[in-house]
Amino acid sequence: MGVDVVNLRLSEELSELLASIPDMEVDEFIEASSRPLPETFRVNTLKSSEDRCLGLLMEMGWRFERLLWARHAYRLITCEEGDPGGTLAHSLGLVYLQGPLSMVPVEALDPRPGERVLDLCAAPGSKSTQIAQLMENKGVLVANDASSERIKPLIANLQKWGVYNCVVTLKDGRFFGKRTRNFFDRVLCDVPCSSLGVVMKDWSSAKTYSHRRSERLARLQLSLLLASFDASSPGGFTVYSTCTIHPLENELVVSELLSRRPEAEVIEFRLEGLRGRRPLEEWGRRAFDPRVSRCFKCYPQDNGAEGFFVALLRKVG
Amino acid sequence: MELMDRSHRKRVEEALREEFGVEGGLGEEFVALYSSEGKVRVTTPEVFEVAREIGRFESVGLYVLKTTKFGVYLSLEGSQLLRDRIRRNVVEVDRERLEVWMRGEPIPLEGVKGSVEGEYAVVRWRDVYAGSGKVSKDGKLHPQIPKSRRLLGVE
Repeated sequence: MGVDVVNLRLSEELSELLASIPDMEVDEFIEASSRPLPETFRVNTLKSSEDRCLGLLMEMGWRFERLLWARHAYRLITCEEGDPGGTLAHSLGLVYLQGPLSMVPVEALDPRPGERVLDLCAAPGSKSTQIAQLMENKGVLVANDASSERIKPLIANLQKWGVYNCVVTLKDGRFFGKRTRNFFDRVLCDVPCSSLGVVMKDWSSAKTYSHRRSERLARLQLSLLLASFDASSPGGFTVYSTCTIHPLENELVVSELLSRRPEAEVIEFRLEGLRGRRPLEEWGRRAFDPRVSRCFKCYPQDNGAEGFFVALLRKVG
Repeated sequence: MELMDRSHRKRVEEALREEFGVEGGLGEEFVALYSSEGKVRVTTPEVFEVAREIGRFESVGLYVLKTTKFGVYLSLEGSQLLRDRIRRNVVEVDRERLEVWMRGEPIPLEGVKGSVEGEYAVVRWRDVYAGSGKVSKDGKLHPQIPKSRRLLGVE
């Protein structure tokens, strides 16, 4: 089977960025970012058992294999229609199409039934539905987003997934750091970013990249991470994640959090079958907190999928 | 979005019993909320309490049914949630008819498994419940599938 390879041209600014990242293999990054993303999905265990769901999918002509690093997740080999998004299974809410690495932040967060969980930047709902699934609809999920346009697909996706233990809010994420301090057992802070790890999905992120924008994003990301951490309870967990490779938006943001919140610790985590690499200790003239090395980072070339950065933090106390 | 008062909830649950033989109403574990256009949502008391503590919210819980002056329509997820307690007016369809249903088109009741007494019926394929519809005089069941959920037809 042939592979569609897009001719990816980099701007001068992006070329400079890639060249400045010491562990970046630029040619491999371009090659991996030019290939289509593997099609992966989760089956809906809130509506049926996993086995029954898989049986129905097989009856509908789907063929798939397990994705090792996420629960209830599969890599699609073939389905009855060319586009899995146009299938009966999708329309019924039996499956959720989600990128393979996009499932990692929630796996790291590991929400449990009965807990209070906040998804700070939740739209369009991929990770919220994944959280609700792992919570088995027990406990409380607050799914927030700051965009009134993106709230609608979030509500629609939670409905389609059969989630009843959720509250959807439309707020600036920083609200939660002040108004719900120490309230949540777990908080997911999957922030807006330059998306340079998902260029294969959206080429415009490579075209529109600018260093200044990443600097602006990093300030916003830090404020959202601080709010998330403050909203977590003592002993509670916060996951910070981006789908970019930019050290300003990844290592630097976590390093800043660690310097401003002495009660924060970084927990190392491993997921089966997933290739990652050690975060940077320094970049440019900036040295990062050494504890940042416990975070997870991967580039598109590492797993033939998205590039992601994920930090699992715990509030000591 | 308002918490449904006891008498209103009782009326809705009575309609559920009459139309689909649902015993136990919406479920003791849930609070019921009345939203716009006669839509009813359910969630747990704990979730509703947190929603109130947060203040303004956009949505809470799951949309399960819509009340109209003619009767009650179960949403896809509402029928799935109540599936173990739905006792009557369930029609079992094959995959082809389910696809027609999910395109938002009426399905003929002739030849389907299950009987319909009255004007409303729930559609089921295997253990997947796909919402309810109203029976027309020509013997077809008309769905209430939201446009965003509909399968696109094959030309």
